[in-house]
Amino acid sequence: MAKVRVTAKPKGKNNIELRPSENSQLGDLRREQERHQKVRNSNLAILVAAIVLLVLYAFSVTLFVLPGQSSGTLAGLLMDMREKFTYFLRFISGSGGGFSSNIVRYTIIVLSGAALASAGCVFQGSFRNIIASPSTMGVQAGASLGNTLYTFFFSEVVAGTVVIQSDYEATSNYDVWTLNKQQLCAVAAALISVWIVTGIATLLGKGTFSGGNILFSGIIFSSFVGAINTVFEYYFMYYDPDNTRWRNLQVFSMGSFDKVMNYHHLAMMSIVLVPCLLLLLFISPKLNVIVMGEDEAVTMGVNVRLYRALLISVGTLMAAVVYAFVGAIGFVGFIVPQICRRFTGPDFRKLIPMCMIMGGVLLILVYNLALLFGFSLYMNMVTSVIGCSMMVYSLLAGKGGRSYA
Amino acid sequence: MILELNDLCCGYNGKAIIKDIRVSVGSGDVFCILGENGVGKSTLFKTILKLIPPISGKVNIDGADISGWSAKKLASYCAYVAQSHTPPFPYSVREVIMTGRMGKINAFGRPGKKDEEIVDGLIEEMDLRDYENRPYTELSGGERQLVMIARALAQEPQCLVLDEPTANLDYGNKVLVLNTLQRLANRGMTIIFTTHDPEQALLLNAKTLVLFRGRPPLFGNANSVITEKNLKRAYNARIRVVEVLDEETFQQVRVCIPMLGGEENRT
Amino acid sequence: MPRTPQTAIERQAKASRVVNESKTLRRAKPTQAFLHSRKWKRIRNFLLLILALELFLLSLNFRTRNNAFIPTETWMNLKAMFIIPFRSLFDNSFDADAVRDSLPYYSETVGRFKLSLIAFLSGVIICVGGTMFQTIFKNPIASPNMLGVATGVSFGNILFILTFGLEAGSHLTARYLYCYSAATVLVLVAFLAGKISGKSMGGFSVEGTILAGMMITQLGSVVMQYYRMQLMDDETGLLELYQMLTSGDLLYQDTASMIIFLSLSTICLLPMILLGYRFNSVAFDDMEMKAMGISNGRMRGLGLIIGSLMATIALVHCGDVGFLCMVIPFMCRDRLQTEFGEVSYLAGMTGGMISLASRIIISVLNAHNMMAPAGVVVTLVLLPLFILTIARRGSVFK
Repeated sequence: MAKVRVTAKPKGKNNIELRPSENSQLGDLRREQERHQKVRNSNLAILVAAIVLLVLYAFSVTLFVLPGQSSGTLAGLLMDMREKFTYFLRFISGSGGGFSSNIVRYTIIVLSGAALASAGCVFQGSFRNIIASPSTMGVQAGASLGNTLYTFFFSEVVAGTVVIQSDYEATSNYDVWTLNKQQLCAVAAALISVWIVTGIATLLGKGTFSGGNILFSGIIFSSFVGAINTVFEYYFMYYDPDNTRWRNLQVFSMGSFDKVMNYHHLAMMSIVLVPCLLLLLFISPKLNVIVMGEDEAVTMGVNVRLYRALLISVGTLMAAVVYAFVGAIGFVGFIVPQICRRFTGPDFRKLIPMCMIMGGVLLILVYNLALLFGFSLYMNMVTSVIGCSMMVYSLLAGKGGRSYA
Repeated sequence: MILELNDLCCGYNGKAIIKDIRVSVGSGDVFCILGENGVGKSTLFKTILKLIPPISGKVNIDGADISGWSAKKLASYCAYVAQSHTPPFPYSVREVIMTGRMGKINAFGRPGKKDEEIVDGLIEEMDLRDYENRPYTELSGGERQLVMIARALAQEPQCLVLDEPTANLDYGNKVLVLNTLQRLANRGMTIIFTTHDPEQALLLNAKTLVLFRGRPPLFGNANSVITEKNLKRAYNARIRVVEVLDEETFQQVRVCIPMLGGEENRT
Repeated sequence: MPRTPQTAIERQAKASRVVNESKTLRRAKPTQAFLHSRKWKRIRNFLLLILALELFLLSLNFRTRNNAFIPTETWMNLKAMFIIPFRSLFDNSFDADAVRDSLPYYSETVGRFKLSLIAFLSGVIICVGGTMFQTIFKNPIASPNMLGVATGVSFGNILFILTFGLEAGSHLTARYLYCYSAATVLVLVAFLAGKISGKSMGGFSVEGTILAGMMITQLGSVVMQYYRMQLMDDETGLLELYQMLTSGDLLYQDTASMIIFLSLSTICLLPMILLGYRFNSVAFDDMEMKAMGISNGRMRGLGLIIGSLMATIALVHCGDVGFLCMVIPFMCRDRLQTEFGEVSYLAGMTGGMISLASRIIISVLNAHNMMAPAGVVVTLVLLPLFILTIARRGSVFK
């Protein structure tokens, strides 16, 4: 048997073309070897990414400057960092100081990144479409609609000004509804809107389920929600003395981690997100079968409808929770799976954990950058700019549109 | 009309895929191109239709080199029926056939009375009267193929070029399409088509070009070219060619049967 | 022409087809045949035109200030509007101003006429542009909006406000420059991305273009929101000015605006009317069309330019009514027709009428001192219609 040359660098997707000199058995052998190579590489990539995430997290929590403390210049930044470090040393030696706010903030960032990225990955897999993501699917639109409705119906008016959010510290009784009205509204609206979007898509496809229809109805739904939001914006603008409620809508659409975030927020988020992430890790192998197509999956003995419904609802729930607490953050669920596919290939067993890790890494990096340049109140804009430029780059490199059927 | 391929050599980007093709077919001839997947059947087609330029050699129609012809002039000689075709919008059958007239209509014009008459005639001839106003996207494969042939005929060509007209069709529809082709050839039209069934060439008694991988192509009458030896070379599989008697027309018909198993098939 | 005698095989095939037909096919009824005939199409097109005209005349009777409905008054004013220029041309002693002053609400009627004209024409051209884009991209969800036209227009508005500050109201003509050039740049970027990403596949990549357009739209909307937050922090009232400029409550009626609007829409509509049938070719495969002697590339280029220009005109002059160009062509294709000329006529007329209807609604709301931007009203009017279409017909597109 002739010796088979194994390409050292695995390409993005399986290159099944037979080479001219080899017959089908040789081709099979070569493919097998390349697959092993890829698996080994992807394990390594996940390990590296995990280490990077840990390092970044530790660095940011211990050394990075808090919002409002940055001096703006590089020298000032270095000074701040040194101060921070001495603070950290004092904390370790037990002589006072604390990092609670930083720890909470960065943990929330890592959790949101992981949730959004894996939700995007799950959507792309279940709809077999590369442009599926929480923002195109109507999750983001639904959450913003929920926020708008909350602002309209539940915000209290105290002494002529509108109070948007009840303060965590001030309330003594921990009733979930009173504490998390806004978030609960947003999550509920997001879940309902995904239900509507999939409903319209199923109607469109006469009972069958196709990615194109989902995107179509998602886009239609988003523009509808945009119109409703505009109506409320006009209402708030003309009837409010000081744009408080309108500002709340704008703040939501911009998304930031600089809002008051404490252990309660973190607890509420992780109660939902951590089990969801674990569940995804366990059922992600089924995505490999679903991607093949519904009929093939059914013949392989997988209950496609059940698994897809489960995956989509888990993804929606995660994205909705993140949007509800943080506000809209675009492109994370869209761009991270694309990057990760370069490292691990299309195998979802590797892709999902990679997406979770890389989502955290990306969001920490972006947040730190935004802090440096004073844009941390406008996270959505920063992620959008980065995501858009990466997307356009990958388009220009000729890889974006086709790496998925 | 007479279509001649003189020492034609074609491929993409200067890289030749098939070489040294010498073919001459006239009016009323059926010309069939055989060969395994990826051997360059479609490339040859595209070269004949001037969609890609030949690397060397010439395509002559009625003795004139077509390389200098405009697309419009060529379209009045040759009409093309693509392999699989699904328009994204539910055009009705009539509208699809009418698009065949588009090349004849002035860019600023709309289909006139004459065009309507031609389309009516074609619908009658192809027996599509019941389908006339149905969306093309809802038709079955065989009906679609008929509509596509009708559309090509609406160009009023002298030569019909079909890319695998019977792919994915069941026996009834295959017979329907082949009968239509036979009828058109009897009317004096030149039919050029590719297929994966060598027996279709035998049934239509076609002039046949067999393309091989790494070997010069063979051209001749179906009965002389389609032999077990040549099929073995072309498809890399054991194929028997046997004669059977059609009891209704009392004609000898040759058919090809692929054989499974055996040492030679395992390559 | 001689036909070969039917062979047994042919007869058999025919028989099998008849069986198939009886299973799958309803025989065409005479009423259906009439519905597909040219005559009915002509009658229907004529009826649509009459209906649109009726709606136009109706909309003239809705005042912007107080919600009165006096057709005779409107009729007098309209007559005067068309007669005065002629009279003053031929009769030197004719005092036009005196006649104008003698008529109650003359200037307002002229304003209403302009408003209705802008609303109707915008609806027409944006829907025709939408049909164009769907045909070119062979995709029922493609619309000029997806390629960043709307984003470009609002970007132009923001740039305009940021440049001129509070004096923006007195430089309205410069606004057109900003809006048109910003939209052009963004659409060009999307096409360039599509072109480059399609290079490896040999040509123009539709997915690449749509993807790039979506990126630009999303990015643009976020950046816009950022700027709006900045404007909100600015206390001088820039925000109100911006809202006024972009809300699309049909404010632009000065002579320069009307000239720009009318001339551009004519430039766009002319090739559409002339090339109406030929544009069908872009819905089909390039190679087939080339084998028919038609080059699709030129048609596509022309269609893309005209389509984006049409959407831009409507968005600049009539506010954000982009929902029209996505929904109306879809509905028309779904319910009625597929042939490009027919669809664009139907879509144009329907779009114009819906736009007029929204203009009436806006006038009524305005009369009750409620601000309602055209885009929102259009969306709210269209959405139930659209859902109804989807629910009734289901998917025709694969």
